[in-house]
Amino acid sequence: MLIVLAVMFTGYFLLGGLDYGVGIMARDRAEMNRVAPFFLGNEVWLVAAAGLLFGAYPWNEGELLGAYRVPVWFALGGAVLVVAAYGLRIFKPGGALDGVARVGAVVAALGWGAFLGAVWQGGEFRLTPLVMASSVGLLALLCAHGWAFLRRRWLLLAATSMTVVAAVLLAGSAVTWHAADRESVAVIAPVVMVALPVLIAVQAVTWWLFRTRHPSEAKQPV
Amino acid sequence: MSVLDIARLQFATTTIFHFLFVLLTLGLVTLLVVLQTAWLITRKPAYERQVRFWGRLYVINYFLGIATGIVLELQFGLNWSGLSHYLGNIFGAPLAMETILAFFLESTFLALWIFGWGRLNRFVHTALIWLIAATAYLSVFWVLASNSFLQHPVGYTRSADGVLHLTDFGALFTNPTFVMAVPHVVFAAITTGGFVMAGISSWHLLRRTRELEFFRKSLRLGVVTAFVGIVMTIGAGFAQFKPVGEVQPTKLGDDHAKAAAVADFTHRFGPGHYQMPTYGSVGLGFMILIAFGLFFVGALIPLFFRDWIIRLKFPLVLLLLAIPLPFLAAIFGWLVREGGRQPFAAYGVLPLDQAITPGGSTGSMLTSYLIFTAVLVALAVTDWVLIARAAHRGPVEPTPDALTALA
Repeated sequence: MLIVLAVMFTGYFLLGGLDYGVGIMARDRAEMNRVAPFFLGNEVWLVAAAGLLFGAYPWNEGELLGAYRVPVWFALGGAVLVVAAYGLRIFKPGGALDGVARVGAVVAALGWGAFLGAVWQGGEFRLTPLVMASSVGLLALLCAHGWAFLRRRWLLLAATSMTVVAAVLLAGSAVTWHAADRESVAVIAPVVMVALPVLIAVQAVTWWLFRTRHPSEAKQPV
Repeated sequence: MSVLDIARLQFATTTIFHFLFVLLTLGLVTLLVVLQTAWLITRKPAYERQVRFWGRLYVINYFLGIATGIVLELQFGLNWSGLSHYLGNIFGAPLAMETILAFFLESTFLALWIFGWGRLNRFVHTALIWLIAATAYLSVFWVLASNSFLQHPVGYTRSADGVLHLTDFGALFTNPTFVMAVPHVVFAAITTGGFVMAGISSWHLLRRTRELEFFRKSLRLGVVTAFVGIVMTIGAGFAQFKPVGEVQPTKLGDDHAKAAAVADFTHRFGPGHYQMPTYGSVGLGFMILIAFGLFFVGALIPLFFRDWIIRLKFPLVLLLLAIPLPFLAAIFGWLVREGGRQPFAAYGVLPLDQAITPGGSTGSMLTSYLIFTAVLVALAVTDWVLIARAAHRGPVEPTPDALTALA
């Protein structure tokens, strides 16, 4: 189960991180449109990860959210702004909504960076240099992540992806995991094992279908 | 106010706001299934325009509602660590299923549906709206299974340290507080969808819209849906009285059973307020009052004849004014359901004071309550304003730079 949980959290930081990176680095609304068909699928990895955390590691859920509530508030506040802004700009891209997405993306990246740093640090939440460095570090990393995606620098994208994965796994390795009862996990496990490949397949189809530039982008003067 | 009072108030506020979004999402997606299937079969462009118009309202509500669900889920960890500590082995499983099997899938399909407009085969695209609706209903199933466990804990043993262990997962779904609650909530949402559709259509018809044929059709669909929905909601509601009264005597039991339960709780947990709070009984009364009022939407169906419903005008005014009523009734309904399990987090098993996160000051709790409530109010008001604006504009062609033809 821990592997599935790791997949979900790294999935969120990779894909959701792309939303935030693109949100910050997009030069105009046409560039921001690049993630439009994917952002919802990207963001809900977080919800799935949180759900699995609650179902399979309920004690860790209470502990992590309780101790690190401050960075979590910021991260979620930012994520909420991003989802609402990306969602509404489907109908009318550009303008204030793009600004909201940008602000939300910065707040989410800083919040999650502080969260990862705090988890790695352990104990009560304190704003130490390590936490601050991790906060700014994730922001910089996700900016590079988004920039590499927008400019189609696939090698750089691979490098930023690996770094994101490493950061999440490193933070996760600092946690003492305490799973729910075997009986309880036995209920969740088969469902997750069936659902996860289906989800990944449907999301892969989404990426394949919308891999080309959206027609609206072509009309934009470069 | 104590920390516990504020935490309860915060949870109640979050749930109420969340459920306002849930009702409309579920109700509209059901109507979208009807409309898009009609389009698939008849190939009439009129149905396509219907799907696009109502689909846009649905999508706005979905994107602004997601946040309320996240805030809700977050609160289990932040304020109610006792839930995960004592009930984590059981309570978390259905919620995990909900997020992965229902919500995650639903959102993934929804993204495909929104952006697949005009790019996917008609059959695939219609199948997607069916899948979105199915996964949305699946959410109701899992979330109510979790909630019903709190109403009437089943399928567990308790070890000496007070932690509950799962013995029978199936018992969660034969729980008497679960079985009739699912159709009750589902049809309440369908009722809401019907009233919103009928109300918005009435607005346009009252303003002598040029889209007469469009809104005449949606008015009829809305009225019929609302009537079917309210009949089923009332039926599933009354069907709950006996089974719920049996397992939750202080909520809906007779006086004798209530007294016995209070004596039992006093013996096990010490003296306290074990009767249902007044707001629960008041909620029950008002919910039933509103439901019976809404039931008369059926009287409008004969007025379809020669469009009397439109020509008489007053039915349109009534339908417009009725838009908030199903939402209000649902809030009252939750006040009964949740109020009736007080003062327990899990009825008869886990008192609230053991469920709340230990420590914490009134000041920080109040600050977090005010901030989260401000966010929820902002989301709800944004939602209503944007939906009202999109509804007011009526069926229009999408702007040239919109990212989907769904507009």
